[in-house]
Amino acid sequence: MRFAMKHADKIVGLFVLVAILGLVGVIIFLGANQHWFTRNIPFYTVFRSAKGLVRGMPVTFKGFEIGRVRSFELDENNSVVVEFYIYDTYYPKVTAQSIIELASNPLGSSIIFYPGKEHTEPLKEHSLIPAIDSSVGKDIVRLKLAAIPAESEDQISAIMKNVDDITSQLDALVKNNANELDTIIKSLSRSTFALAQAMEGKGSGPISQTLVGLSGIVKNLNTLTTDMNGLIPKLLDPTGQEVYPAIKKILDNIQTLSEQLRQFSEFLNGTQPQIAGILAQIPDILNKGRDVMEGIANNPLLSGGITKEREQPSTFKSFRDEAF
Amino acid sequence: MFLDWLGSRFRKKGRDIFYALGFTYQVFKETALFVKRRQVAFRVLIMQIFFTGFEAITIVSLLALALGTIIIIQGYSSLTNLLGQKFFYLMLIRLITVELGPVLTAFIIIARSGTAIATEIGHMVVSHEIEAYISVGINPISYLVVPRFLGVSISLIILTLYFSFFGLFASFASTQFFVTIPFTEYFQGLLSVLSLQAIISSLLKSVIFGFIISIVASYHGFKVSHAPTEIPKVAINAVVHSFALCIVADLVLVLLFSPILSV
Repeated sequence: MRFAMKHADKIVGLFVLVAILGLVGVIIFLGANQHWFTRNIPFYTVFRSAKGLVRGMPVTFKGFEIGRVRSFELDENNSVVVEFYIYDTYYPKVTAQSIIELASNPLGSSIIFYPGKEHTEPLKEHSLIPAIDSSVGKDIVRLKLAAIPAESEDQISAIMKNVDDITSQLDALVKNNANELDTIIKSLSRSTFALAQAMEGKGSGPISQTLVGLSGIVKNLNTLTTDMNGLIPKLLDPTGQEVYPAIKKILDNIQTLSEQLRQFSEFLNGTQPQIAGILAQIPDILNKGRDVMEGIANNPLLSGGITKEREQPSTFKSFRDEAF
Repeated sequence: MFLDWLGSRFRKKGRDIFYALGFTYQVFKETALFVKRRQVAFRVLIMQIFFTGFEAITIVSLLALALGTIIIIQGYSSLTNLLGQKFFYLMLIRLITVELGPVLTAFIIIARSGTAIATEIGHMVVSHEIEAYISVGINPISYLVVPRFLGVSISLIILTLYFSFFGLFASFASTQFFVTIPFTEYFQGLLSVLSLQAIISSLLKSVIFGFIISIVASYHGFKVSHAPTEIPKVAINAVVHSFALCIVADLVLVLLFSPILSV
């Protein structure tokens, strides 16, 4: 501690310096990662709605972040004017006929940039890049002047669009074929009712009659199988010489075995007192054996024989043992 | 009777608050003159940073390391699977750098240095050292409070930076035994969500907490009038008031910074 106190100035200097260097390092990395040191070229676009727009949200191209939204406001024509910038690395991609899309879906939104197909000079700063749903943007898409991939980059929006298309088509189909659908539904309802009746055996159709017949057959089968001399046992063993004698023999053997088991258990019961006596003698025998072993260990010729064991009185005493 | 009691309480509290505000004003005024005067108190400042900052680095780094490790182990798989990697890194930055870093560091400083400052100044008052300073023309606020005020504030900023480093980077190394995350992926993930606003918010919190802890501790130290038995009481008051004011200040700063940080 004396060393630390002596060099307190140096220690404090180092303590502060390391922290400041670390902070500066992190800020430099942060700046490089977030394009602080690159020039940002401003552009603007016009959307119909600001739904899903957030200040600072990234502008992407093929999954890469190429810029960010700076600000957005509602103008006098009730359109949303969005100011955004593109990093200078990607500036050459901002050519004529480039368009931009605000892709919104229930899980979030993103701004996607599509460059023009022609390799022209980059657009000037503060130029308008039309939105994909604006009249100019629609023309660019129709004339295929922008490099729009076959599949939308925003998978969720594409799925939602497909779902929307399918439901629209389904809706149109239902509207056009309302009478036919009504007939089909009524017919289906009648059929299900008739089927339910038939299953309960209440109807008069072939299924109902079949089910009634089947019920009678099952009843007869039950009667036949319960009688040992009936049809089913005879079918299983027509001569009566194959299955039943074998079963009888097995049963006889089981009876013999159980009789022998009974005799063995009686014998065990009879010899139980003798076994109990032997078990009772074992502790004494073991004690004697231990004494003998101790005697041998003590070598009676040298140490004077087997030591006497002092009996330990029991700690348990009942009230009966007390003197009164 | 009750109204008399209430009135006297109110007058006393009002006097205390005005006294505290006047004390704070004096501290800021003397701090502004501190560098200009180049007083001997500069040595006191260095020693204050040594005791408050350097000597607390072990406990702060240990706490940050443990906290960062817990958050990474608990959060990486569940948060990444459920809400995506960006959310995990955002939570890490918000918890370690913006929220818990300054607050936990402030709590450690309150427990270590807040009590020490209040007790030390209280003893000086009891042993008439303060009167001795005044009698030889030394302003006790200039010589005793300003170095502590600057020392605690600087130490808190530096310790908060260390807390963030240990919580974000050293904890990454320790989690490699449990969760394998490539360093470049982790570093890029952190940088993608870390913002200058988050760093400024964290440092601003540390500065304000440092002001609160040093002023509250010194103020309570000077509140001792003559008996040594008052010293433990003022030390407890210093701790309690510092905790409460730090939490309230944190709430105010969160309210101020949340619209900026949410961008």
